[in-house]
Amino acid sequence: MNLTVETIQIVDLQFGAETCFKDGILYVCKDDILAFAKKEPCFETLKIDIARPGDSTRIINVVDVVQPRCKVSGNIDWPGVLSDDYEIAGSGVTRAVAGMGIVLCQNNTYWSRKWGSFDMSGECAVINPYAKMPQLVIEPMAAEAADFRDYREGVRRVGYKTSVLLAKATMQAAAAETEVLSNETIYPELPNIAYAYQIYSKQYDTQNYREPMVYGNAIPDSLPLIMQPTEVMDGAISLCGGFRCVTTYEIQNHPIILELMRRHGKELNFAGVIITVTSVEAKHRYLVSKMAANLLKEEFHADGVIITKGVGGASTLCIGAIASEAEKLGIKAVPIIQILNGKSNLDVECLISEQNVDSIVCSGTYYHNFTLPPVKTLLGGPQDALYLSGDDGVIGGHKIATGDPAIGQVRSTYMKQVGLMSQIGFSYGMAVDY
Amino acid sequence: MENKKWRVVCYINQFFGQIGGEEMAHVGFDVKNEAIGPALLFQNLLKDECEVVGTVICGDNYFAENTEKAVVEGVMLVKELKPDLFIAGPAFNAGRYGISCGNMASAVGRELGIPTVTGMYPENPAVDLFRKDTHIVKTAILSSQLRKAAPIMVSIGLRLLKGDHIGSADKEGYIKRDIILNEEQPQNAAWRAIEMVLNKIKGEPFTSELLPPHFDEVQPAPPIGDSSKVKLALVTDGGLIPELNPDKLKPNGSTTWGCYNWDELLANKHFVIHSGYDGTWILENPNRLFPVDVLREIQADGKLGYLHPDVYVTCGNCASVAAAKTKGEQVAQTLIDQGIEAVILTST
Repeated sequence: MNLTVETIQIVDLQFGAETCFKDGILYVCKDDILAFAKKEPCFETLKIDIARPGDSTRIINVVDVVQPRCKVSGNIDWPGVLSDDYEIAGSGVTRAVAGMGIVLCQNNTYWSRKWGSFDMSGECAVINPYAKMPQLVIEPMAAEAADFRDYREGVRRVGYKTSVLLAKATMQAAAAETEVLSNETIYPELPNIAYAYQIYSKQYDTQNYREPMVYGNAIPDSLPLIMQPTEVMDGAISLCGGFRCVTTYEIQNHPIILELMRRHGKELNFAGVIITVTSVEAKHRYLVSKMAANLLKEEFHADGVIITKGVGGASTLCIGAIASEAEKLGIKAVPIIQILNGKSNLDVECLISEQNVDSIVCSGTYYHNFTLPPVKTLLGGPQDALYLSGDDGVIGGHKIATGDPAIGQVRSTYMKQVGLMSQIGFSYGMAVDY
Repeated sequence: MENKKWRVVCYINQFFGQIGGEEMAHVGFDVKNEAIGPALLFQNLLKDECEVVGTVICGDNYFAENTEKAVVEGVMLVKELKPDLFIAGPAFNAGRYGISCGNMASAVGRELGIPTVTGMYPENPAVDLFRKDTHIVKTAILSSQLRKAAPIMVSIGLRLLKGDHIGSADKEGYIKRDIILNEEQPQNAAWRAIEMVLNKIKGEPFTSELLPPHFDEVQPAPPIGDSSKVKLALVTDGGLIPELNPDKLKPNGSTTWGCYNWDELLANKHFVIHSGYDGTWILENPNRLFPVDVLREIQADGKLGYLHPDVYVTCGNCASVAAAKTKGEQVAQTLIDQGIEAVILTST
């Protein structure tokens, strides 16, 4: 499957009387976004702001960051999410707008682990790609009694519609850069590399809500699926369950798929992608890991595989099992995992215990802590909002601590700072013993 | 005007203090208001910014034979010298000397609130006891290598004084202190993973960023045999606790546990504090976490001797291995003390 991504670089993002692109500046008319919100019955209010690099601004209650993108070849944008019509994503031409992001915030207070935050200046901003470009911050707020399923999906729809709107607004201008992503030509003489992408874990799905991640469908106990690499990054996979160290922006710019595509035909042959989910029972894990390894060997004839995970500890065990089964079949496996605590040493904290998995990338510890200074502007919640993170927040609707005033000095961790840690390898950190 | 220099106090044993060898290991504390032995080297390395105002010396046996008393005595002597920085040893591979250096560095740091640094060979038995309390610079086995370790000790000590950044254990040459932090790399994790897999396929060298640990082998206890006589308790990592959280469990990385009377727990307000799963189904029916309903039926049928009225609860997610082990030992001992012979452990 072929996908052409044409990218236009913007130099600034501003509000304007109409949504348009002029002299490198993308103007956003708030009314256009409010019009999307009108179709979402559970929204009470919708606030739109722009946050800029260097601003003394903190954005809280963040569930996602999205890049403006749209199909320009007559295909459907976000099939199954923005449309009831289905087609397989990942072919034709997609326009991407570089140099900005759309930040989605929410006020569902059932579980504070499910949202993140980030500052546009300071210690964390230095290492945060999202703090280095202007962000359109959208806060669609729901009434307390709103159905959280409608609300979450409403937030996603508004974010994705805005993404399409802004990309379409640039269509008059020629793209600065065009890249064709294709692994159609097979290079049998090169090492055959596949990617096993665990997209989801139902362990954080609350109140029996199953995050509809695949073309708007939930796949809670799925067995491994084969998907096209371009399909994954062009609309097949979308997030709707809150922040868990991966954003739509990262999936749209999937660093493993992009890098494997770029090296395809040069250093390697990109064999394909397998989608898996976290198993919550051992029986399922045994089957998924053996099936995934078998598909890698028999369908992809893989020499090597990169494996990434969806959430925390259970997810790590599952991709460890896939890596181990792959190695047993002679496939070199490299999982990307994280350390789940900060007060220990790396000799004992690797959650993969299969001894035949001896090539692991570690994209950091969750609990590298920060103390962040007060800020002038708070977005994503009311001015008197409390800064509730996973450690001192709300667990399953139960408030266990009061938190710090979010506009003041707050404590945060690496994994709660949106942009610092990416499950799919977008981030640069690595865990180190001190 | 001369800049004020930081005051440094060094600690050494009788051998480095030039009192004598093993035959003088019994001598007690002595304080010299100058740099002695290795302290001379430290003084030389620190001369622009610090002054070694005293060297505290103690015999290895004197310290080892009554460690608690020696620590109190030693810290008192160090305190009188009003130091800004404390340097102990280095002890190289000497066992007793390692214990005294580790104890002194640890106690001085804790009680005087000043930075401390020492040095040891990584296999010195004292390393594991004190590596979290002070910076232990890695040294060679033999003291002839003092000149290699001293500049590293001094550099770390000086930066601790100034509040400057100390890098990772490997980079700086100290022994890991059980703090894991993140460092930004030139390439993202995706790129690193692709390089690693290609190198592995080609048989070229690569460095894994983590390796699977070698866990202890836990031998299963022998079967209980006749269950109609057995005393059973229930333990979980599922985090079901009373509303007021009396044992201060944390949603993750919890180092504490609690034990609660089952009927009281359910009769009063309770919730799931574990942040690794959604507690909806447990709250709907807590027997899903602790199979008390079924066990009571079994007990009524005479097939179970005794069911402990209390359940034991912690949160297992994101716990370090060391913390989990400590909690496990505490819970096990508590149950053994009550004559409990079997447990069912439910995980989430």
